[in-house]
Amino acid sequence: MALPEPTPGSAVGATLTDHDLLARPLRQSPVALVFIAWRFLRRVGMINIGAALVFAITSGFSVGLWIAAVLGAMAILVYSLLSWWRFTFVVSRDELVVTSGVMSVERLVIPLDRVQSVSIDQRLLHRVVGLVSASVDTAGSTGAEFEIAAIDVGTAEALRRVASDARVASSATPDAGAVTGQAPPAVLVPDQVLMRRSPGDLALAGATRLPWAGLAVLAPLVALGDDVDALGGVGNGIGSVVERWTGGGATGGVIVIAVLVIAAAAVFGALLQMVREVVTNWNLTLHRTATGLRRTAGLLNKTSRSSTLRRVQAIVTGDTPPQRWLGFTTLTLKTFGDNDIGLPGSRPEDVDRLREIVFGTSAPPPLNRRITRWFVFLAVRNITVVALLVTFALWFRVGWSAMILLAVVPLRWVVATYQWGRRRWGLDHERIAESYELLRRHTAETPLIKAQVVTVSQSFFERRRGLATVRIQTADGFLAVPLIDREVAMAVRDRVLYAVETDRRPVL
Amino acid sequence: MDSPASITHGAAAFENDPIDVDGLPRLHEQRFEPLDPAYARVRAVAAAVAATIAVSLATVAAIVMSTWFPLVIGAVALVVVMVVAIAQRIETDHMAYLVREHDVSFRSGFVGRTVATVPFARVQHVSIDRGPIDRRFGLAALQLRTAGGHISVPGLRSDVAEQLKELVADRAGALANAEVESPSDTEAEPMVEPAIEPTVEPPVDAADDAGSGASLRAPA
Repeated sequence: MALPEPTPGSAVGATLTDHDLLARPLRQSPVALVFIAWRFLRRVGMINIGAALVFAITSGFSVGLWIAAVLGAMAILVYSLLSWWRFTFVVSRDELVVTSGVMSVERLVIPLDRVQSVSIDQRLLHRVVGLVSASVDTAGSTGAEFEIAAIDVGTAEALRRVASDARVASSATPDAGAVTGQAPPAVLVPDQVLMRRSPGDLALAGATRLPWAGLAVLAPLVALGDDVDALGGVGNGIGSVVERWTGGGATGGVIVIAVLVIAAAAVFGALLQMVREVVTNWNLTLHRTATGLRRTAGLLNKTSRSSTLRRVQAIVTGDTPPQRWLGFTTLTLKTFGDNDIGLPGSRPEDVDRLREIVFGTSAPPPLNRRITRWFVFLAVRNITVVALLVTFALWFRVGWSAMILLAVVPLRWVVATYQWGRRRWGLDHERIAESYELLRRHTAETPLIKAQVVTVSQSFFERRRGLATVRIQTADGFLAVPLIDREVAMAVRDRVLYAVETDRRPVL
Repeated sequence: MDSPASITHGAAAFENDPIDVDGLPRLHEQRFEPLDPAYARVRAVAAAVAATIAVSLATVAAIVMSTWFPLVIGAVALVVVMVVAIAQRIETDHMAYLVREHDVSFRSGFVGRTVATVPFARVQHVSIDRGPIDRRFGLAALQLRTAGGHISVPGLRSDVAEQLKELVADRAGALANAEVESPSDTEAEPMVEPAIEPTVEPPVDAADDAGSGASLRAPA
């Protein structure tokens, strides 16, 4: 059963049946038992369980162990049953009341218009039985306020519609401090599709990522090369080809083989990531809803995340050189709470468009300042210290050839100079932004008013050179610019404080 | 300036103009208030307690294991505690705070100097913390919580701390009510009521904490 999409052009307000449906206390589906038990096991720790299993298997199966296992399973079952039995939710008089708890009963009362997002997910198991999980975020919560592990789609959608209506109604009436009775939905706006990603887009985005995954998989295979006969055959074949090329030289052979391995790993990694991207983000769609944005995606695990516009604290983009060459980037809207909205394969127009919707301006972020060149010095100094220590330690084992390790210092100098050249930041009247790059370029921008705490700090190194770091903490992460002139850092701080203290708009 | 379509900022023109702060209030020009002198004593007492614990543990270990080795470790620990205490003393002399019309700043740090500022408009929660040693000396710490972290100003006299707490709570609450969009859009935490029992209990405000806390974003 697919996640329902509201048909374009239809009203998406909550109907009376929605309210009726949620008017009586509802329990989750019994299938939720599985998820509750699974969550409990996850909390105990898969590593602990794995270790216990290994211990059990290696020490032989004794009766005592069996009894312990059975008792443990029964305990988990009883706990899950109790947890399932206790968890009920109901919507009454514009409040969502959730009762839960195993040992002590906890009653959570959330005014409906404080609900900022209802995320609906459908994992594999959910799809088999035709259910979904729903998690509710409110303005005051950093994670999900609570999560309903398994209910049917109709109820989840009803909940979302009812919450959305309450939010729209409360923002339409200016002094709606306490909304009593059933306020009719003020504005019924059909959800609008902002952007979609085709499987081709996703495949391209995945394939052009940095293929670290490939290396991780191939390395142990190569290490086992001699032991595995089949692989040994391939290895011998490659070996003979390589020998013919390099005339039998040992170092030449090693280099060629190393290059081949890296190339194979890169291709393999790209394939893996391509598949992963397509499967995770199948049919990725971004909707503009009455109360914000909603992102739906997924082939095996279907996810549906929604968020109000205000919860977005920063816009972050990340891309690799091939992605830049092809003209797209991975755009992430960092939101207050766990559900950042990620959109791989975004074009510059998409970024500008979302920036306009979320921050009210489509102009690109200011990025016309640099940090001081001391960055290079600091990087080289740090690596030199480490290299000297390691070389000194190795000298006792390997002798003077350990000095070759010091070659890493000029290498770091070159890399750090490149990094410094590409590192930018800047601010204007509304936003502050930064950009840095090594293999992957990362940019972040955030409106000044989203600042929660502003800090100007100086490390010992910075203090002696009249430098400082300015750090702007938002409700979801921070943006810090290090190694800039102290006067500039303090000016940034004063600008940010001025923006925060003169702007009366709420920012969460 | 780059065209909006360009996400390749490699060609951005490099400028380095000073940031225009004409007419803006400058924080670093203000004089910060130092902490109460008794705070240095509070920290010294804490260090002394730590040193005593270290020495006693080392002595007990030495007696139990009947070697002299734990005493060496104890001596090293003692030296470390003393060095830290001296550093803390210097740091405490530099610690200061400043309350302005629209924000609170706190300056701290010995090796790394830091000034953290929290605008009243971002304060979600104000509370007063007192450790056991603080109470002996009549001091308290004021903690301001925001959605993105908090700052804590230690070493305030109790009455000063209470006054500041009232001030911050009033200012922040007034600002919260004056937000331009619908007042019901302010950040409010849901109420959490305790276990359902036959006797009626007053609902516990989720934002209250063990010390004396003022929740500014009370549910409307």
